[in-house]
Amino acid sequence: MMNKKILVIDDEPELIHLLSIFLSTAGFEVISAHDGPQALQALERTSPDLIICDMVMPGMDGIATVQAIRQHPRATTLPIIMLSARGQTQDIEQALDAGANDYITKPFRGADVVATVKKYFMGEPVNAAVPAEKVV
Amino acid sequence: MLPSQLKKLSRPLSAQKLSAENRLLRFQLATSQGDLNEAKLLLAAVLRLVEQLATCPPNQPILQRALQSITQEVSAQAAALHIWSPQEHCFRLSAYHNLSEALQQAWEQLFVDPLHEPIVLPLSNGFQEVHPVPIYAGSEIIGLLTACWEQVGQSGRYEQEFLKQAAMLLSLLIRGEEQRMFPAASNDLTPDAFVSMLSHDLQAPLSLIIGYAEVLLEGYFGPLAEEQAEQIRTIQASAQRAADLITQLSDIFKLSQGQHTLELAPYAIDQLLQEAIEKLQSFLKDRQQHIEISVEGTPPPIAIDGERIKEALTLLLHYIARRAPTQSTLHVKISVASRQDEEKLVLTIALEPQATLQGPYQKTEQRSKSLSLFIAQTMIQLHGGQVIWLDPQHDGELVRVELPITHAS
Repeated sequence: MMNKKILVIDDEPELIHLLSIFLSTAGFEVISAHDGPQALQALERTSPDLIICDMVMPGMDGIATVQAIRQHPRATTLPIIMLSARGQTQDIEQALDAGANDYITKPFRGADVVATVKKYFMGEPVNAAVPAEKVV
Repeated sequence: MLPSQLKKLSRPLSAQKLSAENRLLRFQLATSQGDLNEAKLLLAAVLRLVEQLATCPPNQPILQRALQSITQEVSAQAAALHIWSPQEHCFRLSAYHNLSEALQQAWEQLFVDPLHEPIVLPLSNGFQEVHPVPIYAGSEIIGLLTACWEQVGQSGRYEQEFLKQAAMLLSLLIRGEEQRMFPAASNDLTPDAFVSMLSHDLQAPLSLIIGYAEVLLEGYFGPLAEEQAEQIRTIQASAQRAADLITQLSDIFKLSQGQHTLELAPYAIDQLLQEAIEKLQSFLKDRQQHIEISVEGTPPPIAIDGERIKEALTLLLHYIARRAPTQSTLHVKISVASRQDEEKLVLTIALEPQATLQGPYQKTEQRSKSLSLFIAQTMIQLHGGQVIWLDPQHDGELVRVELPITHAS
């Protein structure tokens, strides 16, 4: 079975790198985008199996990005996990209303991120470690 | 103004239930605010207001006459001027700006609970009837405009309409003055937006510190020597503590703003206390300290937000344990006290005999420097409770935490 592709959207390259370490070690392929418009392009070019999107980004924020992604025919049922600083519970509710399926709060533990992602691929095997992060 | 009176004023009261005493208190509160600079600022604003109003065609003759007849008064309290109404009645117009927070709340309650009729007060300057109108900036009351009449019943529809328009214009003028004088205030950064920004911008780098520490500890880049791992665990724990404080600070702000709500449920306080101590075990072990719990009688379960009270107790105990000698024992006694027809659950924290806390902890200014203590105390206050610091000479008792008992069903 092909590797599951995770699209990570965050304006901070270090955070993308950190998530890539956790996810690629767990056997996922990571592609990344640094903002909403780049994420929509990535959605066109690749077919991610799951998206992790940061809540607060300059320009198009996480909520607007999720709303835009949900308009895309390929993404109507795609699992989307929001990344948010704790204490932004109202924002999280907005994100879930906008179409996100789940959320992870910052600071996060790598094991928790991997467990949350794996929840969406229950019963499907995931390959062992793959090269980290491929920026689209 | 006594705190108890302020508390009383901040409660919603219906117009019908307002006693003469309450009205008087409200009015005195309004007149006791402000300073000379504010008064000058207001006077300038009022004069410009009158100039603007004088150009309004419908009321031109009256307002031109008013403008000519202005008696300027700059007191230490407010800007004031006299204007004649169409009925030839003299009324005094006063504007108050920069109201205290407590006063703003009191007036907000008053106007949420509309009070349309004027207030009848025998004032020392011979005026009898007062009509207050709030000056808004958005939904916030930033000042008051009041008109006083010499005789009861002189205020009519014209005057009331005039006051409304004047208050509206005055709010625009004041806001304009503020933005001119304090340019930083013009970027519309609300306290809520500020806290969200603070939370996000501090949590983001802390997430990286905690995350990369985990990467190193888990051996993603190879094994670490035990001493290296120990240092990285310290980095990780410190960053986590900072992140928790930011989250808790943001939480109490949002609770106090009504954006978050306490999730109340019945809890046994001894259980929560035990869990709080568990969270401190590693810290207590390093310092060879112990915390013992004793329960007096059978305290009932109390309706609290268990997670938040547990966090508050953890922060409070951590603050005390850090200042207590190593190898010492803290005692926490749980009891029920009745005071003023109200039952309270009391946690009394004491040090073993002969031990004292290090540093001048008993001084309020020292305690006010601790963010964790501020968070703990505020959380307990948000539950209607209080933290009382005691004289350390008194039986080794350091602090008493009181929480109201709301019998949980």
